Amino acid sequence: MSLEFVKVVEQVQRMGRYLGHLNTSLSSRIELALQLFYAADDLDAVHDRIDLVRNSSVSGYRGAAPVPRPYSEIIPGVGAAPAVPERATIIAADGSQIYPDQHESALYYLINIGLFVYYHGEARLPTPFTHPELYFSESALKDKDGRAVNNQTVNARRSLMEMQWLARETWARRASDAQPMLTIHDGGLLKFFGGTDIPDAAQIETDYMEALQKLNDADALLIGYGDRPRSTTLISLLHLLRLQPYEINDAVLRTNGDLEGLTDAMLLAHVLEPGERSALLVQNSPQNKEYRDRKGKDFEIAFFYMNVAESNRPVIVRVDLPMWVAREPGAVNAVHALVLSQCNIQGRRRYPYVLTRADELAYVSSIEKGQLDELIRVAMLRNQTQPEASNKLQTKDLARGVRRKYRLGA
Amino acid sequence: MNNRVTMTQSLVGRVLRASTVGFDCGTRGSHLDDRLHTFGAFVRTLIGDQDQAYAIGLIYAIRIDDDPLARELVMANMVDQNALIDQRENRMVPVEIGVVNIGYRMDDTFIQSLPPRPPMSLAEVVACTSDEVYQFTQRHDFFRLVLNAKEVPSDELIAASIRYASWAYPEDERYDFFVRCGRYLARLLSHDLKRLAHVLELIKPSALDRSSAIRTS
Repeated sequence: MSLEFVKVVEQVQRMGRYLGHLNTSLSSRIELALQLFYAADDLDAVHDRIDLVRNSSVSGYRGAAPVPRPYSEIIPGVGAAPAVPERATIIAADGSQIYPDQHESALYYLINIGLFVYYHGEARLPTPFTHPELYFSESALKDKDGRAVNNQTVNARRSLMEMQWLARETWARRASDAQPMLTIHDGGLLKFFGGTDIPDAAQIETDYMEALQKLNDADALLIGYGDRPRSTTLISLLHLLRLQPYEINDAVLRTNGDLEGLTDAMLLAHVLEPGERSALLVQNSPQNKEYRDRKGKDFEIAFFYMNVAESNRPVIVRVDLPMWVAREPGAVNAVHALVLSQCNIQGRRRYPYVLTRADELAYVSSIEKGQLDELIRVAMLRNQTQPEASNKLQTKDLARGVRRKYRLGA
Repeated sequence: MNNRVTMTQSLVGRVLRASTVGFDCGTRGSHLDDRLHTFGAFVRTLIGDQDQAYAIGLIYAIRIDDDPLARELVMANMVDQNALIDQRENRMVPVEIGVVNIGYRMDDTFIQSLPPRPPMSLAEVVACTSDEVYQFTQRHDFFRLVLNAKEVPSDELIAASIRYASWAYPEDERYDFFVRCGRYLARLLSHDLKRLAHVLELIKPSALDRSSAIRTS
């Protein structure tokens, strides 16, 4: 045992007190946020304010905005749970990975994609798929300067593969399976692949947009599902609306003023009844602008929040959807209803069944990783290569190994 | 022979773990068959490389494990039909079947004792045919193995196996088979009359078996 709990207990108790205090101080801010939320019912005024920050020297606003006219919805408006489509095809993708480890006997990484197809309204066996991909060549493991790829790069490539498989599967089924086709990606749709840490970020971004294009061509109802969202874009909008025009500048917009610390989910937990959704919004960000500029207005990413609970204890989730879905009220209703029906399947755990299964399919356990390592060692031996883990890894395994008991006659 | 239930060779599962005392085999939930996966059924599995040697056992337990997802699905107001078939067909939730060994066959000879070695992993476990059950139950030495087996509901198992075996007998021999089994049990359990009474009650032939025995005598 290396974690000495005696030394941690006091810290845990302090943490509990801190979180309790935070909760108390936030509850007073919720009251103010609710007032501002219900006061934001003039859609023209909200659009004017957004135009002001978009067309001025102010560049730091990263909050929410109504979706473009004529699809915009009144900010404090809520949508009740609509009727569920009789039939639909629901496809979910999720991925997991084994990161490259310099200390293993061979340098490699693995991405495993799990896909799950559920036939809503049909008594038909759901279809599971997995697509494992092993990367071991120099070009996959090193960037152009010869540096080993990092975990961020593997994550970015995994996100891309999730979207590509989702697009491939949806495209293949577009003519044969029931419509609408709801395709669910685990997490937000707005991806940031940039940064110097990812060597092929530009290519990944291009490929990602192509996958979105394929989903658009297949007329898929694409969504990104965010469980337990921590975003504060709606709170930022309320903060922006509260300011006088002359007060608006980058410094003021860097925080949410009196509303700082609140999240959108905290606010909407007091607003949305079970099954209801919030208004459609878009995030005002350079990434979203980039999506729109690159591929057209259909590719701007909108979102709404919904309360997927069945009881009075709210469960707020965020649903990202591209504008090609958001501008069709029938499509938004189908998304809303189908997500709720998926969340109903697992009883108390309010989470889409298809995502649970896609995650299960994608997950690579430590036991499976051990078996894969063994297979790789055997393959190396067959090819006259001596596999040997680093001394560091070998001694770690010795020290962490299971202790054995003395047994008479054993 | 008339009214004899034919038991053809059918796959019950494959061996997961084994010893000379018994073995566990696994199959998919969707492959459960009322005819094959029955408490007290006679099954066999190869114990050597040659087709001539196999262990014979009785199914004494059928276990279906759960996992957290299955538990959550149970908690839902209404179990979704597609999730249900997904659980049974797609998810890796095996049904485990426990078997206690009661004998083996070597070179066409049935021996009612523990087999000399256990079956290997993944060996096919099949239901014994009617002929095999008929041949094997001409002797009753395996009763002692079952009655003394640990961690097995031995009274219910011996009774279930006798009832199961009775279907391998022609109708006019069935009653005599029950009587023979009852007498053998009386010898084995003479020191425990309460237990004997319980087991005899469990294997009491039906009125139909009795009347057919009277007609044929």
